[in-house]
Amino acid sequence: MIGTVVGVVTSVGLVALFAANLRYQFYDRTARRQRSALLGLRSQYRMFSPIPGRTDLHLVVRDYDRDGAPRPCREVPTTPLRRWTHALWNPWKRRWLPLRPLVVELIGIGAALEGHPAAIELTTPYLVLLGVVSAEPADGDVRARQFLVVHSFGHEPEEPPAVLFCSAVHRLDRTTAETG
Amino acid sequence: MGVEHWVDWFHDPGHVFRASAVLLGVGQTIATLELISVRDALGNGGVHPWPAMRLSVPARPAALRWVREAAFGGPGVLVLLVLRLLAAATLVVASTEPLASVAVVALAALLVTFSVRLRWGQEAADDLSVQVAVGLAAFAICRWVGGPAVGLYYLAAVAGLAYGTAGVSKVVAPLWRDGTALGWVVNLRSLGAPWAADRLVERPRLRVVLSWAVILGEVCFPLAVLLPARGVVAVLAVGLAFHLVVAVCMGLNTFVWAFVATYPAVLFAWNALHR
Repeated sequence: MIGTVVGVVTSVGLVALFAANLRYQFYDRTARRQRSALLGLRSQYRMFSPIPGRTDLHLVVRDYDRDGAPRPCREVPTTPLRRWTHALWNPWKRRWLPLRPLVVELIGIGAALEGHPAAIELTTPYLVLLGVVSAEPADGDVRARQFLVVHSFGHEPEEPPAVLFCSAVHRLDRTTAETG
Repeated sequence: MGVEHWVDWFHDPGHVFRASAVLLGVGQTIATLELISVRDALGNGGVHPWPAMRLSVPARPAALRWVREAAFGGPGVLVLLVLRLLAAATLVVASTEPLASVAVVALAALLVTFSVRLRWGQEAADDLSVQVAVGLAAFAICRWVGGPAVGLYYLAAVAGLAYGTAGVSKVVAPLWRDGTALGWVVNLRSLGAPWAADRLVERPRLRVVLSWAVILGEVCFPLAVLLPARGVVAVLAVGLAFHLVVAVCMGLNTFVWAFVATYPAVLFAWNALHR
């Protein structure tokens, strides 16, 4: 008896979950953002389609000295060059995979906040990216920092990189940015 | 051992559960060790800092909020990672079905928890692993009480859904049909490989052929259960080869384990249809 009850409940639950996942495949990006992922139990399996990303994203840091002079930009290292061993062990992707959804959400929010550009500094994606660049080493003369999101066209050298997003300049918190 | 005899081995739900559980366990052991090795990404200054991410999670009652803070904060999430590693490793080495059942139920709960905690950066392999763990957990729970093997059918259905969606969304995309999209993907520094880009970027015909091979393989995968034994085994072998190539060229190593963990359930569904 209990086996039958558990079997019926489980079957109904799994059919409902499958139906929810099936429906989820048809949502576009806006619809996905508006609906919860049901504790991560709904996901989309389009796998780089219909339009895959053509560009790599780079997080770039620009430091400012105590006199306000900017220093040369430098990239926060995230993506190592491909090695065959990545087929077995690739922890580095755990650092850069979040970058694209973070930037997509940041730019989407930025567009929605058109009349209030400063409000973007209070959004979660902005705060996450600011935290990442603030944790990068800085020498003692650095007083402020800003970050840029730049996209480049992979291994195509003829296509120049372009800036997608430029943050405000933030005073550097010396407790998180250790002297490098 | 002939192909028919080998496929027949997957007629037994216990065998299917064990095979899927081991494959899921290996994949999750690797994924969890990867997360542990970049654990600084979960703290301040990382891409998953809880102090910033908690700002965008739904409000909860005080008791639940306390549990969430304890689990998702600095030491809590490390404890969860260790538990996830233990559950995944147990799945690989468990010698008895009850032990594997307990481990898979625990792993399913932990993977759902991490889906909430790691809001960004979950790849499709992580999402599919959650589905595999949920399906196997449902099977384990039903088996304890003598219920049906619905969890295994669920796994087979999810595999068909994942491949089918990937294929259909490519076949309706002109960029995939003419091979352009494949060139873009292999050309990326983050997901591609220079040697693959060198071979494909200047060869549009090869790109078209490979794109259509991927599209047809993905679209037709759900129909594999209708083929004779040799046919379904061939489809699964091609699927395995495809994921290995993707792992080498794109560094998506955990895709292999997540997708192949569904294959025993596909063979189980095949047996249910043909015997």
